[in-house]
Amino acid sequence: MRVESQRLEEVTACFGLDSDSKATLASFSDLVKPEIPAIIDEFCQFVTRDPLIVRRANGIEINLHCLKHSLNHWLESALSGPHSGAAFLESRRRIGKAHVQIDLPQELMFTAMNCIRSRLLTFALRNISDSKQCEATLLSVNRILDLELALMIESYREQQQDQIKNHERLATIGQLAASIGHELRNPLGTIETSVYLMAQRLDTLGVIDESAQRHAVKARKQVQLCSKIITDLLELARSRAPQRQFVDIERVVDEALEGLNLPASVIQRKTIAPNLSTFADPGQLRSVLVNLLENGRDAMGGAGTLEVAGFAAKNGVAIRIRDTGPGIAKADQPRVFEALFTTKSHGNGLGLALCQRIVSAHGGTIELEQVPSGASFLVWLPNVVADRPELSA
Amino acid sequence: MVESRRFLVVDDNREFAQDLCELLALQGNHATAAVDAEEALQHLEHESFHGLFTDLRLPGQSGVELMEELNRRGLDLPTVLITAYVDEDVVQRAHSAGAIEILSKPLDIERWLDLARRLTSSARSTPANDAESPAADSEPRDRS
Repeated sequence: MRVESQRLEEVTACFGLDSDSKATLASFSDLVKPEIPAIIDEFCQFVTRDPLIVRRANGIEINLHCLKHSLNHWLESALSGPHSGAAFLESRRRIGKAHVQIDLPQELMFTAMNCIRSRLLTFALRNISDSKQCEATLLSVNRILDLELALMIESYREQQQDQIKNHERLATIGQLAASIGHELRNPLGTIETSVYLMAQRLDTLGVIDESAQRHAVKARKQVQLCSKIITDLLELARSRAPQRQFVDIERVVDEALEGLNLPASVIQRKTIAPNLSTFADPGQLRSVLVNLLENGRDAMGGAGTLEVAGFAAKNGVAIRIRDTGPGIAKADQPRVFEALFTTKSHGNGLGLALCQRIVSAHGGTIELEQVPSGASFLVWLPNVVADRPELSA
Repeated sequence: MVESRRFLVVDDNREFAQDLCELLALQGNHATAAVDAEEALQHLEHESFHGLFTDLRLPGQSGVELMEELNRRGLDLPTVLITAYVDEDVVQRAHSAGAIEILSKPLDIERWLDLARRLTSSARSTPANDAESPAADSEPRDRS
């Protein structure tokens, strides 16, 4: 992924806006600025009317207000610059990520860009009387929009490749986990029956030994624990589409906290906004929360505060899980959601990758937040229009 | 006096099957072990049983196929599937074939023994055992 990041720079260099073009764009930018909101409005109407986009959005409420705001910002910066540099590339990369998340068909990028292009060119033709200036403006506008389009396509390709690679890895791991998990159950079955029979034998022989009995009980408990670990692993590894239903956030958080076994020295704090709910797969959501809570608990190793907060955010619901442990090293941060990446000596590196998969399948996001100390994960699930029949399983 | 129940236990791991038989014997039952469907069917031809415990994955015919064979032969034998490979697909197939319950390995032994206690069926008569009197607590059945 680090090698790929050069691609956006290469694409930018390929289009090479010279200083004359930049100057032309800058003055055009001043001229067209008052017109931009109207252009974006028209663009949004075009976008939200397109049946392909509506279907693809999977019933996720498109927050027009947010979309317009982002688009205004994008168009202004596209015209006024800067047209290179780390911040510029990073913002274009984020656009690619967003497009991949909503599974935007690439042909729509062209038609959508064309909508903006034709408005800008028409404006230039109508408002720049000097023919030389007009010509230069038309050429520069075309160039910058082509650059933006090329960056969108390249960043889309990058993000999609990452996503596919991770999916494939998870699928392979899933299959492997399933077959190993099943295989492990047979020997566990034998251990269970043999331990039971041993205890029975002692009983039959009239041997009453507390220590032996205790060990027999302990051994059987551990067998059951192994079985549960296998079941949980198999459950997580299965790529089941979310079976959405009404979920009360406080309730699912409580369920997740229930089996947590926090040491007494760890403070648990829960702040859930009243009547917070979402339309999601309760079992899957619970696994995500359990995973994050267990990570937090393990990171703190005995003392600290584990905080769960739930609140409405951005046309959806956000759940934050924060711990006061050592946090995640800067170098490791970009990789935390990768399958098989773990910093735990006894972890299996699957948890966060699977959390991300579950959350993505719900149309949501999960991110590691930047905090001064400890680690904080934010899960966001979009509000879903519940009366869409195609959403229920 | 209640006749001790007879069970057939099928698992490709003979030792595991024998261990389950031992557990059933501790409860005063009589249990026979088999490692595949073929051996199980041989036993079924010569003996009558109150219940069948079978693994899913067996060499040759699977546990479900064994159950389907029993259905074809008209042998009404309460069957419990005990398997390491539990998933929705397995559960559905097993229920369609008439399994009373599907238990996953490792077994919850107490629960399984309790299930064995509750299984009721008249011992199905076989040609070799026509003379046998029906168990005291089972219903009289037509003999075909």
